[in-house]
Amino acid sequence: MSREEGSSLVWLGLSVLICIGSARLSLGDFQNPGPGFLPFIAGSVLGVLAAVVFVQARRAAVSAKETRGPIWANPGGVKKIVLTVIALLAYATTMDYLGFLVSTFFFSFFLLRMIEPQRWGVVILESLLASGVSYLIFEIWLQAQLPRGIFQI
Amino acid sequence: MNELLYGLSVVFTPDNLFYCFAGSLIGTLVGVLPGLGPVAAMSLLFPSTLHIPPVSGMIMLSAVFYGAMYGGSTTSILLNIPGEAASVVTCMEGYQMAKRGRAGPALGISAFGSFIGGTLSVVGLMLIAPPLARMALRFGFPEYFALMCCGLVILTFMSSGSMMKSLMMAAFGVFLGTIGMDLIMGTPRFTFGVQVLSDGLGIVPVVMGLFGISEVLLNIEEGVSREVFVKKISNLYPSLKDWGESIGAILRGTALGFFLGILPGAGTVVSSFTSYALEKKMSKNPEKFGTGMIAGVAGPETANNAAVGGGFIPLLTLGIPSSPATALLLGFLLSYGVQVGPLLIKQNSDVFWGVISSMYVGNLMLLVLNLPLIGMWVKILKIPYVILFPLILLFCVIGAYSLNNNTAEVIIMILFGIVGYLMKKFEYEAAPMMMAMVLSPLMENSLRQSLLLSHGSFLIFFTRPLAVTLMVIAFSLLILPALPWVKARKWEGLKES
Repeated sequence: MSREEGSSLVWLGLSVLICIGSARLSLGDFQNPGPGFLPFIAGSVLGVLAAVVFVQARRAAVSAKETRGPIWANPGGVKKIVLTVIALLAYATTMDYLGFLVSTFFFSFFLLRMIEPQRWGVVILESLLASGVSYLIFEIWLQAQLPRGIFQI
Repeated sequence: MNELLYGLSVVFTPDNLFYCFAGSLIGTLVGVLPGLGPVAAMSLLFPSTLHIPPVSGMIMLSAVFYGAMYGGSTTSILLNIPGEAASVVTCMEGYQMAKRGRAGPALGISAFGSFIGGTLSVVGLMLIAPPLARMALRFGFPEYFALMCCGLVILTFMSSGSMMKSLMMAAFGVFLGTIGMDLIMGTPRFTFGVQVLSDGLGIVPVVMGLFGISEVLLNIEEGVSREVFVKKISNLYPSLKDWGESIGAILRGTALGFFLGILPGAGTVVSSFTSYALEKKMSKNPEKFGTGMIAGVAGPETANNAAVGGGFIPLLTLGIPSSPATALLLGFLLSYGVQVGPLLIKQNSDVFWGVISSMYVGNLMLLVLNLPLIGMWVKILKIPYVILFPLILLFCVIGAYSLNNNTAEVIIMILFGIVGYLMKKFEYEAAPMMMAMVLSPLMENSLRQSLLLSHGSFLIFFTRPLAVTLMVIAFSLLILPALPWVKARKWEGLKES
């Protein structure tokens, strides 16, 4: 299955879910459209277009094989992306508990050490600077009210 | 003239001058740095601007937008890597000039061209916007709905990739815009019990995800390595010969950029490419293009700045954005409850004239920032990406969090970062999705009100002169790409670009 076929199928599936969800919200009628009216139209248009893209991609795949290489040719790159996303999610979910300063230090530390490993000195210095300077800018200057966490700092 | 003086009186306060300067500086910085575009930077600053008056926030965010157009040329010329999409074409001649020891004049003419294009487009904006706003006062719901449909179709038509996929993204964007409480009946839609979704998907986390996080993920995967080509830059001021070769390109770039900037989707990127193609066509030595022709730097760099001024026309007069950056500005004004559209000029004249006047001041600041500080920008370019990307991610997280002091916004941003990354991988454009998402609530209101007016008849969009004209344009553009000769020409154009 080509990348066009795969992606259009995902959109097609999503459009079906949107249409079902919209219908449950009540579509109303043309004179008095309900809350599901516009999302239903949007979902239907998305579905029809996704089906057209799928058919076009299918025809192209029959007439000529896809000449482009695999979409994820570099396994090392994919690993970096997965690690970065995990770090981001962990940072977002622990920020309230650990507080901004501590969680930011660990977030920077992890990225600098695990994605493109840097020397320990650089890792520690940049992590300290990133958390400290961003705290000064956002908390002290812009008064962003960042979380203090269990350490209350 | 009185309005301009009033606008200048709004700008010339210590606070607003500071925000204009800060925006210009940050804009230049994000323009210089590959991997962080103006839209991501504007959304990063968005939460901070919610603590200041709307006019100050608009001045700052607008300055980031046009400031990035100035900064983008630096990396194109010195590194052959565009700082942002509108400067892609500058690489072709600018980098060749740098290789031949003429980085200084290339940087100089792009800064002067940007200044001239930026300033003249503000003059155009000032002249065209007020009469257009007066005309738009006569628009009813059907005209607005038709206008928004037409805008979205033009945006997808102008997209560089598949129009079908762009339309899909526009449809998905319309759906995303409906998430949250239904405005008429108060029914929660697609919120899944998540409190933060009841007010709708926030534009800032979505934009930061689509344009900021996804870009970082791509760069991490592919690895960004760069080497600054020129160590010392001299002769920043172009010679008389350089001016002679560039002035025509600058004037043509101004006109072209300004008018293309008004069209949804064309904006800064298309105007710079079109200007390059125009200069090549008009040149006495088209065969020399690609070897470092200064007109090939002057034209596109002028055009992308002029397009910024043009892009403000539909936003300030009709309340319709023409690019992701202006969509973000619309979101900013809406978050303040500012009535965006033809009434803006009357009800919020400080915003209208203050923003326009600030663009004169900002362009002047940018000229001063760009030429003498070029050494500083080059030094910043030498910072390895591996050191920069944790900071970019960190700022994105803080930006999303500080919107409502809520980690749910951060999670939304991360999810849209993954979606944006996958969309880039599978060649789906984010701009139509984002624009449609912003326009969706306005579209829904116009559609429902129009249907109420017409007792459920869709003919209302085809019986009023302006609405039918816009609808015919939209349908024509939908059909046009299916015609074989249009398909072939679009493909040829892309190949040439």
